[in-house]
Amino acid sequence: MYAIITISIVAILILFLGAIRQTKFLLPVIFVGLIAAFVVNLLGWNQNIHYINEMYINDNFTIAFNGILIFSTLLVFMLVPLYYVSVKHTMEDTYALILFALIGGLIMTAFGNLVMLFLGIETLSLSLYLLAGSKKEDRYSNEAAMKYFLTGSIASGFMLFGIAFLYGACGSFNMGAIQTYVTQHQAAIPVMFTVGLILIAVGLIFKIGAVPFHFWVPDVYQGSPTLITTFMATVGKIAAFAAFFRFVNASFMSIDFLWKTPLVVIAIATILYGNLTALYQNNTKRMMAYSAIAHAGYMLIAIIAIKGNDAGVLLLYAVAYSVATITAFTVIMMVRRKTGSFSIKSFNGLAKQYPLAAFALTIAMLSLAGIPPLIGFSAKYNLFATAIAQGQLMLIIIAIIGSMISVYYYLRPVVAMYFRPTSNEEPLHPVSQYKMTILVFVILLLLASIVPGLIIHLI
Amino acid sequence: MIIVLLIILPLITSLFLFTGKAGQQSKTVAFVASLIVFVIAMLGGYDVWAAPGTGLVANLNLEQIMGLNIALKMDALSVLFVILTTLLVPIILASTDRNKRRPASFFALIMLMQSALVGVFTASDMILFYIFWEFALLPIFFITARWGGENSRRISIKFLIYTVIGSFFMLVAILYLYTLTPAPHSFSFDSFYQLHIPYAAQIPLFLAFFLAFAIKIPLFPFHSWQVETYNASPVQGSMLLAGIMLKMGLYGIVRFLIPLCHDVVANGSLYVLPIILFGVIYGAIIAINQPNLKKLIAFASLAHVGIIALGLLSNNAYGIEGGILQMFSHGVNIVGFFLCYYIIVKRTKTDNISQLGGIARVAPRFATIFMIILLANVALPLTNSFVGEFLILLGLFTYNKVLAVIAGLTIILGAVYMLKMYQRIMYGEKKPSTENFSDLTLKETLLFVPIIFSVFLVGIYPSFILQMLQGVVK
Repeated sequence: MYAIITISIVAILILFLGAIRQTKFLLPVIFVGLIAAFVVNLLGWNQNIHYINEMYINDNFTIAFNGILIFSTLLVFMLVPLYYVSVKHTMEDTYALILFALIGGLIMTAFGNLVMLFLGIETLSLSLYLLAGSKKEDRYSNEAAMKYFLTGSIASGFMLFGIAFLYGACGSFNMGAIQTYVTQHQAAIPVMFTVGLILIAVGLIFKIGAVPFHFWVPDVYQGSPTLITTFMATVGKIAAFAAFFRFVNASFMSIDFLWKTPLVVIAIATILYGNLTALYQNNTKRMMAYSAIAHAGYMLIAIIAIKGNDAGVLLLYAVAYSVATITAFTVIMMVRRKTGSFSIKSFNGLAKQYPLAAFALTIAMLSLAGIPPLIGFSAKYNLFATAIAQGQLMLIIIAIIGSMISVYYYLRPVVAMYFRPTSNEEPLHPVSQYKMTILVFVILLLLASIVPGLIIHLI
Repeated sequence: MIIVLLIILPLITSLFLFTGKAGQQSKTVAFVASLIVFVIAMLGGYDVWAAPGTGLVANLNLEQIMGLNIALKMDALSVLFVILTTLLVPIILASTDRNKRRPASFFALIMLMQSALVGVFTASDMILFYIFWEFALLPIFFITARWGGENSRRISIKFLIYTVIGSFFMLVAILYLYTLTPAPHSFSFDSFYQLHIPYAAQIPLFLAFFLAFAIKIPLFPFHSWQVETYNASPVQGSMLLAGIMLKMGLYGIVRFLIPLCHDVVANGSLYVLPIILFGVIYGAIIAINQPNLKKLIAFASLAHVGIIALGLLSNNAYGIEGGILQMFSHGVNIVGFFLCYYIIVKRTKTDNISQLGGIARVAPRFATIFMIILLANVALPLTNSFVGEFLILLGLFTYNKVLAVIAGLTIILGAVYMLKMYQRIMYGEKKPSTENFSDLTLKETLLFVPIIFSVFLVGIYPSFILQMLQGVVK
């Protein structure tokens, strides 16, 4: 809760600083603010406090996931000086929107009440709609924002409908009250309740970008400014998954016969669709979008295999996915700055010119593909082992086939970097300032690969 | 501690080399490190040999930090492959040219490979095994693709995809076995060995493991990556692949397939063995008419590893013991073979057999050494392969006489292609390319010393290994 307050203050301060034209303080304030929020967030460890009539639940689950969200945002902000290097106008609105989106994400992990869930989702989504279109002069960015906004608001509509139905059936928005209702009525669940559950699930599935509500992902990811795509793919996605996990875990465990099979089907479809379509992409940004769809499929496994409060596997997956994705996007941004293109061809011969960047992208890609000993592998195997212990053999076989396919497309940029000759043009822009940032990401990724156990046993 | 050192030391060396600080001294650094590792491995080997029942164990309980148990064990079976790895890597390193392109990363990758290979052979936790198994793939992929010949990029990707597919099936099998272990579930080998797996469950397990191992070994019909990859790799890459890495698959058969799916192996081998045998004959026949020396070695290797697999799957102690011994011998011999190949190509710039000839006249020392390695390859008595092949055939004979007779015939085929090749390269008229073929230098001769030594040591006195293995086979 205090983390949200801290970040809100920082966001407002940013807007204020922008208004009085003190732009050189923007980033320092954000960094200090985010670090403070991270620390404040950790202070609540093991205390399990409920705020505002159980609308906001500050337990270890919340703290762990909020920690990742704040940390990922911090990493994204590390890229800001590199990404917005040539921008003339002030950026305070964009920065503040990113922070507001983060606040939405923080609420989503902690909701104890459906209204709070909706509030969190809308805070995140509305900010993201605007951020997607923040490159105002770019046609694709505008298109992405429009597409995202239209489809997103329809999904929100579904969700709101669902919440209303659930309220109609149970007479409460409170997750605890809904759980009581479920245990009392699990023999004969009324239709109104089921419809409500389905509609909310539709909204959540849209937010995580799983099949069949995935269609917005490639266009929006591609059209948005890359920095915003990075933010969406990590913070947006992890928040949605944490919310989904809490939603199912809080109230609907005892009626898993209602939702488990459909989720298994969705997970299988998502994994296959994401991985197979990613094979054909020549645009790395678009490839990352399809890979994000595939990863949504994997993360759904954590929700299917949910058992008690065993959220560690999802947490580990979120960390693995987040760090690797941000690293990958950093190198993609750097290459884009150098060559003006996102195509896989533009990575040709990068290893010779920027060995560190090539190395960073290589380990990020291998981690996303789940190749040992990187953290992506630990994350996947823990996920698979948990699901398989609950008899989901078929799902896991398909998930593994999906990972197998993914090795191919994740390797394409790697092959281009190491084994293809460069087009031999001089770098258009100096990119050495990326060096420090990339080094930090490499160290983070390797460090995380050594200690997955610490993360998984955290909650 | 010894096992941890064996894995960590090459890893640290590799990381150091990757920084590029060693520069032109990279080869020396890697070579010295690999020699130290070899000495440590021999010390560990002696401990295991002195007390074969227990073996060396290293259990670093890092479950809380790393999420997996670092459980390493070096028993009589592991020790053989650890010694094979640590013996061959210095030879492979020493055989590399000094003016290699980007030497630091090349040697760093070889050291990384060594670390992963020792990990594969000493892991005693399934996930750890899988991690090393997959990890071993990356260095060889980069070695093949970056330092290879024509088309090496395409071929190495094919190789990678092929083997990754195989190992993912293995991952499914491992995860399934994990669910069978009593709660709290465990990935340790011991908990897997204690399982009583119903026959119906053994069949898919057998298929999944077999696929992973058959691709790696490679066995017919999963061999199509092998010849291309050998051909495209730099010769040091081929040595790593054929000498050590392919043993991973055979090791897997001994370590997992036979103990975990013993009923299926007992009943089902009759379906699998004829296919493997067909592959052996196929490899041998193609080798007879192979104009390219490197491809000839590749096809010969295909036949040899097929024979080893036949022995292992014949499901009796002779076959398994012979197979294990032969794995060791094949590793040594094939590296010796590639070394000869490398010397020929370096001197003559060709590996086309028809352009070679008359080398024996100008380079008698080389001809002698080549002959010894060649005879070891065709399993002449007193050489290392003889004992292994003899035991394999004995095992196969106990299992099925028809198969044994056909397999015995392939030994004749082996002698045919080997001697035919030797005759065409070493005798006959000198060709333009072999006119100025100089004999081995002292340094080159030294490279062969450990190989020749182990050819005769194992050939004359195999019982010191066989005694150690008896405990394992039981």
